[in-house]
Order: sequence, then C-alpha cells, then structure tokens
Amino acid sequence: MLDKRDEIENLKRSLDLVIEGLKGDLVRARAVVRDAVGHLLASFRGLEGAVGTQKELLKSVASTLNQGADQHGNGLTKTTSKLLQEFIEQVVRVSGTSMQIIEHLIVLSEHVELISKDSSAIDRLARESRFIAFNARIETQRAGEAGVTFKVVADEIKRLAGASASLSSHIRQEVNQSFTCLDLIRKSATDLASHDMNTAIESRTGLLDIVNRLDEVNVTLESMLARVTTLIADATRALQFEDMLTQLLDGTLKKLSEVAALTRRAFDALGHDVNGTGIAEIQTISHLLTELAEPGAVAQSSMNQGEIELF
Amino acid sequence: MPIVIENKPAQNLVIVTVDGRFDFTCHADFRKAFTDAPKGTSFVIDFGKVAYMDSAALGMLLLLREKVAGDPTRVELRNTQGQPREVLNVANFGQLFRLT
Repeated sequence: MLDKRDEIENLKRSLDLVIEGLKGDLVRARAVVRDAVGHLLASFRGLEGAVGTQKELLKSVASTLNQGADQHGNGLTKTTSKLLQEFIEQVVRVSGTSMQIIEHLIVLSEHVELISKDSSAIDRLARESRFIAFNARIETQRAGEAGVTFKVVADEIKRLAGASASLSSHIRQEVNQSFTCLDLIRKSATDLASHDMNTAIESRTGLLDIVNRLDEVNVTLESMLARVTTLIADATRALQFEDMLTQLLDGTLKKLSEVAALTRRAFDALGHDVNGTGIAEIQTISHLLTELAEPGAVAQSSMNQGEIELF
Repeated sequence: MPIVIENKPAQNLVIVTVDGRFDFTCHADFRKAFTDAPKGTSFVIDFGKVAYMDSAALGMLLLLREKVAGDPTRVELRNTQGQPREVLNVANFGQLFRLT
C-alpha cells in the first residue's frame, strides 16, 4: 500500500511530465512564430523592392512621355505635339501658296484670253486680205496685158492671207492647249489647297487627352505606390510582435520552471511536515508564488499600445 | 447662295456672309469681295452660318490678309463657332486676324 510520501513522489513526477510537456510546446510555438515572421519579413521586403522598382519605372515613363525631360530636352508628347503643329502650319502654308498660284493662274488665263482675241483679229485680217486679193485678180483680168504685174501682187496678198490664217489657226491651237494646261494646274493647285482639317483637330484633341490622362495616371499611381509603401512599412513594424511574443514565451518558460521548482519544494515541505513545523516553508513558497503572479516583461496586449519593452 | 457680299462704301467696309461649307467652291465668289474693293477697305467675314471649313478657306483668308497688307485690324472673322472656330484655333489664325 502506498503511503503519503509515495503519493507525493507520484504527484511530483506527474507534475514534471506536465511541466516538460508545456515547456516543449512553448519552445515549438516560439520556433513556429520565428519561422513564419522570417518568411513574412522576407516577403514584405521583396514587395518593398518591387514597389521601388515600379516607382522608378513610372518616373522614367512619365519623364519620357509627359515631362519632356530626356537628354535632348524633348519628351515624346512634346515632340509629337511640335510635329503636329509643324504639320498644321505646313498645311496652312501650302494652302496659302496654292491659293496664290490660283490667283496668278487667273491673271495668266486672262492674258491667254487676250491672245485668243488677237488670234481672232488676225483671222479677220486674213479674211479681209483674201477678199482684197480676190477683187485685185478680177481687176487685173479686166486690165488685160496691163494688169499682169498686179496679178502677181494679188497672188502674193492671197498667199500672205493664207499664211496669216494658218498662223492664226496655230495660235488658236496653242491657246487651247494653254487653257487645258492652265485648267490642269488649277485643279492640282485646288487639290493642294483643299485639306480636311478635322483630322488635325482630332489629332490635337487626342494628344491633349493623352497628356491629361497621363497626368491623372501619374498622380493616381504615385499616390497608390506611396500608400503601398506606407502599408508595407506598417506591416513590417507590426511584425516586430515576434520580439514581444518571444520575450513573452521566454518569460513564461522561466516562470513555469520556477513554478515547478516551488511546487516541488511545497510537496517536500508537505511530505516532511510531521508536527506542522513546515508551515513557515509553505508560507515562504506561497509568497514566492504570489511574486511570480506579477505581470511579465511584455505588459501590453496589442501592437498599438506602444513600444516594446525589453527585459 | 453660299456667299453674300454686302458693300458699305460709306464705312469703307465689305461684309462677306458665308453659308454652309466654306471651301474651294466659294473661291470665285469670295475673291469678288476683295478684288474690286478700293484700297483701305476693311472686311468682316461672318462665320455665323458656316458649318464646315477646310484649308482652302484658310488659304482664301490668307489672300485677303495680303489684300489688307497684313493689317489684322482690317479683317474681322465674326461669329466664329463650332468646327470653323476649332480650325481657326488649330491654325493659330487668332494671331493673324481679329476673331470674334
């Protein structure tokens, strides 16, 4: 039959087993937390690096597209805008010059028209000359032998009249050709002068929209990236709970060992106490246990309660 | 008729009102407005009824500018709105003419 001392020894062994089990659990919990926090920190640092790279890329894109600040001082949108403006100026210049050419063509047409009228006058003169030559031939026939010399003159006048008519016909052909050419030039100049300006307007509007949208995107992305950076910093700071938890766990382990030791002493005192003389020892142990009940090194219960207090 | 020319000799002024499309088809009528105008004449081109203009119209306005020897105070482009106003803006004609 087991006596009182044996029971106490059994109790002590059971207590030791429980205490060791609890200690093992706490050590494993500490290891798991440390491992998880290590991974989380590495992930957040990686994220922070990626956000930083993204920020730099954004700056570079904004600089190239919108700010107009490459090594030549010309951004893409600035260059495109300048090119578009030059194109518009060129279209206007070509239209103005084409209209001037058309004005000159109108004056030139008027001169060619005058040449055409002169040609008609030459025709009229030729007809009159032929009529004179015809009458002269009649008169030379009436004059008989005396009119032979005049016949030569009349024939010559007829020949000259024919030559004039032929020249006039040639001039008329040339004039008609000139009118055809002038008309072709006028049509070409008209085509050159006539450009639909709506495309230019749409391009400029589109370009301004792109610039405005880029501004908006830049502002939004900048603020979003700043927010992400802040959140990462907050998360990284929050992960310092590992220190708190480790301290807490270490403190608990230490207390657990002390509680185990004090409990052993209490059992010893109770086991050897025959005349009630061990009461003083029990009181001392009780006092020590009360001291152990005081809060540990990490007093706060959340990260928002302030800085971590180290042992 | 797309173009109406109103002469005001007492004011030394010619008012040209364009209706509908202002393009090369208006050229013959438009040039009548300034070819016979005496020296020192001022011009008002009324765009109130113009729905569309192209670069040929810009070229005609440049011809008119030559006629007034580049004096921006002697050509007023009146009632500009809509697409014509945008074309005039994109071509920077506000620097060459009085736009109202």
